[in-house]
Amino acid sequence: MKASRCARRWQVEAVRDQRLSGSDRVAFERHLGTCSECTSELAAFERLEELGARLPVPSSDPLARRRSRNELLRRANDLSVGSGRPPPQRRKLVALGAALAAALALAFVLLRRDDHAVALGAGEPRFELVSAPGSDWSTLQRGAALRLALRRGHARVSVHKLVPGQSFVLELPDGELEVRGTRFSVEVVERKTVAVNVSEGLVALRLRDSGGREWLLGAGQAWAATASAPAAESASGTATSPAPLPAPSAARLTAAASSAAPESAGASSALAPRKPGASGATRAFAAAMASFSSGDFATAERLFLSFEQRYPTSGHVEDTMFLRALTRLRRGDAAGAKTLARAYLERYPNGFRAPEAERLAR
Amino acid sequence: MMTLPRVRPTITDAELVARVANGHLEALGELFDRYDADVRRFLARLGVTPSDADDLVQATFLELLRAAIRFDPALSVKGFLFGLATILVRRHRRSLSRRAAMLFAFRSTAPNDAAPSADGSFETDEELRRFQRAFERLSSKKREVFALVALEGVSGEEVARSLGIPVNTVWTRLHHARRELRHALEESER
Repeated sequence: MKASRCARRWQVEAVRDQRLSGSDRVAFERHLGTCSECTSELAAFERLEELGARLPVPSSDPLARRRSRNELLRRANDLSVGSGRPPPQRRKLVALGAALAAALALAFVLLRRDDHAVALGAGEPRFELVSAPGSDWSTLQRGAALRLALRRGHARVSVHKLVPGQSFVLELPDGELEVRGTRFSVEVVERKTVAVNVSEGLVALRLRDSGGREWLLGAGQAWAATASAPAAESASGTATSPAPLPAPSAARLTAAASSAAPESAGASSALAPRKPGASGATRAFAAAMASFSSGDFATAERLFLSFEQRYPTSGHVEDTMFLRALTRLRRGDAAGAKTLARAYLERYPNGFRAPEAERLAR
Repeated sequence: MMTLPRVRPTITDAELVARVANGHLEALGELFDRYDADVRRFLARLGVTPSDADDLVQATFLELLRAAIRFDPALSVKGFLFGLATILVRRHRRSLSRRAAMLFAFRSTAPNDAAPSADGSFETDEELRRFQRAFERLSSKKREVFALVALEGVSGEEVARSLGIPVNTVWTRLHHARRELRHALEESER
C-alpha cells in the first residue's frame, strides 16, 4: 500500500460499508470521479470481496441436505418433547442413563412379548415397539400386511423401511394408523386416541368418527385431540397447527394436525380457515393467532385476553397466557412480558411453555 | 377444466422465526430449507472443515430454537443465523484437538483448493491462492467480521448486535482485516 496523499481516502471504506449517507456520500461520490487514488482504493476493496466470493465452498447434495433436515427436526423434536435440557456437564451421564433405560425397556418388552416386539417372519415388516407399563397391545395379523392393535396406553414404534407389498397398520380403538416406514409414538386413553407424534417418515391417521378423513403426519409433526373440545370436533381435526407434544400425557395441549386434506394442508392456527363445525372457541383462538402471526401484536394481545375471559376453561388458555407474555415482548415491553410470564408460571408451573416462560420471567 | 397449481402462501422469515419461538417445528424446517446453504457456506468461510460442518449447521438451527424468542424482526434472519453460527464456531474452536485438526485441514487443502479456472488466467488463480492463504492467516475475530460484512453483506450494526460488540469494533476489525489481506497480496507480488 502506498502512502496516502488524498485526505479523503478514509471515506472509501466508509462508503463501501454504508457508513456515509446523505450529502456526505453525494459529495464523496463527486470526489471519486476526480481522484484516481480513491478510485484505485475502491477497486482494491472490491477486488478483495471478489476474491473472497471465489473461495471454494463445499456443496452438499440434495440427499445429504434432506438427511440433515430430518435429523435436525428429530433433534428439535426431542428437545421440545423433553422436559428441558440438563446442565452440560450432566448431559453425557443423562444420555448414558437414557440409553441404558431404553435398552432395559426394550429387553423387558422382548422378554415379555417376544413374539410381537420384533416381527421377523418371512416378508413381514421389521419394527421395534416399546410400550409404557400398563399398555395393552397385541398382533392381530402377521405376514406382509402386518396389523397390530393398541387398546390402551402409550407405545413408541419404529418401523423399518417398507418394501412393496408390505404394510404396517396399528389399529386404535377409534381408528387406525397406517405407517409408511417411520418412528412415531401414540397414546390411547379411555378408548380414544389422544396423541400421535412422528419423529421420522410418514404416517396416515384415520379415525372412525372423522368422516373418512385422513391426517398425514410427517417428521416433526404431531396430532393431538383437545380434551376441552367435543369429541366430534376433536376427531374432525379442528386441531390447528402442527406442534411438538410436550409429553404423551399432555395431549390436551395445542392440538396439531397436518393433513393432506385441502382445508388444513399446511395450515397453522394463524392461517387456518374457518371450518364448518368449528366451535366459537376454536375460531376465536384461530383469529387471535392470525393477528399474532401477522405481527399485529396489539390486536393479538386483546384477542387473547378476550379469549381467556370468554372461554376460561378452554385448554387453549394455557397457550394464550403464554402468548400474551410473548406479544408484550414483541412490542418492546420487557417488564410487562416478565409479569405475564410469572402469571403463567404461577398458574401452570409444569406447563408446556414453562421453560420458555421461565426465561421470559428472569 | 384446467386445475391451477396451489400457491403456497409466502411467509416471511420473521414470521417463521416467530413460529419457531412458538414451538412450531415445521417453521424450523422451512428456515433450514431457506438458509442451510448460506450457513454452510459461511461456516466454510470461517474455516470449519466439511466433516464438522454438518454438526455445526444442525447446532446453529437448534440454537435458533432457543434464541428465536429474542429475535428482533427489524434485523435479517440470515444475519441472526450467522451470528449464532459464529458463536458456535468459537465454542467449537476452544477444543485444542479440533483446532489442530482444522489447521491441518487448511494446510493440506489450501494449496489445491483454488484450482485453475477454465477461463481464468494463471495470474488470477495465483492471486486467489494468495488471498486464500492470507484469509486463513487472519485472526478468527477479523476473519468473522470480514466474512460477515464484506462477503455475506450483513450490516455492521447487525454484526455488532449478533456478536455483542460495539459497532466501532466491527469497523476496526474490518479495517485491519482488509489491510492485512491487501498487504499480503501486495507482498507476494513483489
